Amino acid sequence: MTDAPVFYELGARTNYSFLQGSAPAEIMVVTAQKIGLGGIGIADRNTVAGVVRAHAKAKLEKYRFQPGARLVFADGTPDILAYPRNRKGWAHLCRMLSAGNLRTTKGSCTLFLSDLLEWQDELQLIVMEDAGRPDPEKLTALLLKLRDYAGKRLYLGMTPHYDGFDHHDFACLATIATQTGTRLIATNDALYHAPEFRPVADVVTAIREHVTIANAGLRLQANAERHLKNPKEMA
Amino acid sequence: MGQSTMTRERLFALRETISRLENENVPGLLKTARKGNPAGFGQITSKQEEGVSGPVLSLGIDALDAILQGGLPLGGLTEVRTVETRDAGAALGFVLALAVLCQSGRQSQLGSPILWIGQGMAASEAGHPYGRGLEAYGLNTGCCLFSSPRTVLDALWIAEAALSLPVFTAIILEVRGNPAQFGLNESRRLHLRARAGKVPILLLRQAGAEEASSAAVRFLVAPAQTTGRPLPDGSVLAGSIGNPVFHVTVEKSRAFASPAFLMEWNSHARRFRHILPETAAPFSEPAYPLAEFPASAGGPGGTDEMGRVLAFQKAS
Amino acid sequence: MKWGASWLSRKRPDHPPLVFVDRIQNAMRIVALDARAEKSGLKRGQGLAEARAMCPDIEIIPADPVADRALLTSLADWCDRYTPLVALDGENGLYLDITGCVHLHGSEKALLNDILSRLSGLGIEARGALASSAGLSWAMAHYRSGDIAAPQEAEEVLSPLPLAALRLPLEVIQTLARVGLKTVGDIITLPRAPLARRFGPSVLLRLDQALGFEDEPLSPRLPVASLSVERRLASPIQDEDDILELTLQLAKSLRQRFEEREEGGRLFELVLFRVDGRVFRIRAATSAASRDPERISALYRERLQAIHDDLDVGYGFEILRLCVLKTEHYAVVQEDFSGASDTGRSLSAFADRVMARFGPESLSTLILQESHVPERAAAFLPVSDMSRLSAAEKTGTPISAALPSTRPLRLFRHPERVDAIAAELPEGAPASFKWRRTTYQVARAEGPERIAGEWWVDGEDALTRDYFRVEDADGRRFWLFRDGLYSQAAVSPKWFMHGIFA
Repeated sequence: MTDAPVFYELGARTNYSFLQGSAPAEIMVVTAQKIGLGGIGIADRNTVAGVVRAHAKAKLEKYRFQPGARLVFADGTPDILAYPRNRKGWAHLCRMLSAGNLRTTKGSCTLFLSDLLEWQDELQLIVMEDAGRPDPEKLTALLLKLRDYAGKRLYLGMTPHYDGFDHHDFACLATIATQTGTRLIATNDALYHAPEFRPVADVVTAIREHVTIANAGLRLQANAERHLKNPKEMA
Repeated sequence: MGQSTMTRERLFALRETISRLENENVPGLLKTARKGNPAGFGQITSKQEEGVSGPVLSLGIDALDAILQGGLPLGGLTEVRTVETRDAGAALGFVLALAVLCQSGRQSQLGSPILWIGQGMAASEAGHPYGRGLEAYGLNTGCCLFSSPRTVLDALWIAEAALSLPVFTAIILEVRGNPAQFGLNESRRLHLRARAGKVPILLLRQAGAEEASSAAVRFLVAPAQTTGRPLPDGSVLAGSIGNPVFHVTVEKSRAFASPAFLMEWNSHARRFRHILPETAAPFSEPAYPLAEFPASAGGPGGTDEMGRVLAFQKAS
Repeated sequence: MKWGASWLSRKRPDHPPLVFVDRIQNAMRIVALDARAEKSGLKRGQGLAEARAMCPDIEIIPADPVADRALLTSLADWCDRYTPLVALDGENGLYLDITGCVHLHGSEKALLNDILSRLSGLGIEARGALASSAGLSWAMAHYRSGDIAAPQEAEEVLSPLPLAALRLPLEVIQTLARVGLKTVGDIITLPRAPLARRFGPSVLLRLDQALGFEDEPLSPRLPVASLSVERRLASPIQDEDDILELTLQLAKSLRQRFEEREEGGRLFELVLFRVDGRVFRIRAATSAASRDPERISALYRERLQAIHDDLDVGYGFEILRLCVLKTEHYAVVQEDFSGASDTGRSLSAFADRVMARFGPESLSTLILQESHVPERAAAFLPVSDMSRLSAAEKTGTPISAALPSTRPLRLFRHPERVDAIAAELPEGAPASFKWRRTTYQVARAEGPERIAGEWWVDGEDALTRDYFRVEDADGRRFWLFRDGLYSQAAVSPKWFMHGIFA
């Protein structure tokens, strides 16, 4: 995937990531195609529900589409995007998510890193480090552990946060990737399709946090960069 | 009653003048004395030892603490000056680092805030204290009081009122230049009160010339380049800006040298690090080579001229 | 009342009859007149033309309601010496609730005489009466000035008075007159229900108020202090030190009452009554409940310093009163053993002194607010309550982990324009910039940190800022931002200096 000259957005979330993503799956697909992305991968929070609609749309538009899920762990492990390579991988992903669903009340899903280690076969994994500064030691340890299982199927996601540290973070991640022999992959971790959609994303955040917009403060994103971006912007 | 205090003040002033004439505590002249007459130098040493030494705060750099005879005096006036207004950031950074050290040294004692008196003009020219930045610098802003009096006299009044109660962890007093209303008498009063109350008062003088004052310690601070941010593999990211570094010269102390230090402030660990010349990057030269400073240019005459205020006017 | 005229005419014994006129219903009419004019047969409400015809030499002065009002309020202030509960009554009357104040003057009669004779001494020709209800005192002040009535005498006193004594609207009085009811006595004996039906509820209400059957609370002009002490002086004082000494004495006499109530004062008011009737009110606030006399007088030392030029002592002050306008529970027991409450008390003493001298805005604390927009993320808040300060320390101000330590020590309230030279397109920091007439070479830079406006405050068109930390060749560190993205703006975005780093 990374060898392709075009940029695929693999971190996209839809409104199936309950109260996180804010755009419908179809719109994400259409927008990705319109702005010239080589393809789009949809990975919602511990669910593959949105993938169905996105897939239908992509098929209709004859657009390159990759279904997956964003694994959010209950044990402090950073989020990991999981993209099945084949039907077997898809089955593994679904089994893992059902295991998480069974563990808890209806509508939520509790996952641990051990689940992933059990079901990782035939899944491509992208480790995302999106909250705060990466802790190099912990991240290195995780990558080394996962590499033993996933080998070449393991990637380290790199997302610009526009928080003043991107240069430093990328340098850190690049160092870690070199040290652990992991490949880097760029993603924008998109929550919505276009920058104009930021207010909707903010409102969604406010609802999730049970606060008003004016009181949401730092829980909101500082800027409108979490949208789908074209290859030039991501360069 | 008022008469006698006046008389006492005048006496202090006279004594101060005499001591200045005796070349006490004037580094520039001391240097001349050292060159010309080693014996005279020794004589002053014995005089110096008569001084009362109170509690001190270690600055975490042995060489500096040694110069300061243990550290920053925790009761009394300490002056920090810059040559130019545009270096105010470095001087403030140094003063605040001292304040943070005072704060962490007194953490057990609840409710003892830091009082920051910024004379109106000084505060607006150089910007207003910014809570987010101060917090990130290691200061507990929930425990700081701010006052922005209009005049130097008001600022002095507030400082004296604060010193009359031994409740403050430290007092920061910001003035600009060398105002006539803040002369030797006033600095002597502040120093004595601060010493009696065991409260450190940090005088931050923006664009101030070196002048005789009662401060036990005086630092001259100039900006210095940072060493950059480290990467996980131990290398330093080129072009990045790391922890703040200051070029600090001890202009006045009980010791007779006026050495310079390159000091880095780590706001997370809340401590200084001494950057030794050999480890410093080649571009970490001080902004002002020492030679540029007029070493106690005023000399014993102590004319109260305003500091060099370079082009730092607001862009229209 | 006609004090305005009387006051004027006293200074000129041989004045012509004097009337005050105003435009009422499109005609100039007399609204007030002096005794000589009254003697010439002129009446209030009379048209000016008619009055001129009757008495050609009258002096006519246009009414000045604003000045009248000012006079009435200053009189109310003056009356404060008798009771803190003074209420204004229309344009020309005052109610004084003297409950509990009589003992100072010996008897009710002595009190009333004192008021009237002192007013007369000030050149005010006033009428007054003292009774058990506001309504009755009003009636008597207007028709039996100088009298005092006990509660049980109400009916007897009121009966012979005209109905106007009940403060009824003119049209009601006229309607009553048409059926032959002219005095209060005429309606007192009538059956109540038909009276109310026929002439409206106001008749019964006013009657009952005058008789004292119906309660009529006065609304005091000024907040009534929960505690107050005063000192009346045989010879007036002018010296500031004397005022402060007396304040100290007053504060000392407050102390016991504070202790009884387990309270301390948060807001004090020193009322100075000048011999010529002018009244000065000087407030002083404390940041924590206080009852220490030394501290209260120290507070007033600063206040007097601060208002020095505005306090015209004239011939001196004859009454000093110290009121406590706001009290609060005063914790006598030390809250803990670390001596923190001692510190807290010294601290609030310091804050009170500073604020008494330089105003309530002169001391502030910093509060952090949750906002990505830098200038909204921290604010100064005047210190009003010292307890807040120590509370903040106990919990420790939480620093949000989401905020990296990339904020300057100083922030410019108004970002200052800089000329940025050769900024690296599209998202880089400038290579050099000119600020306050000095050019700085950028040696290192970090960024951008992209901060969008808050659309719910700034609107959706607000520009997004790209912030950069830059270090110049000498090691000065600044916070610059580009206002707007290159993709956002048609013209090239402007650069600003927003803060200074250590």
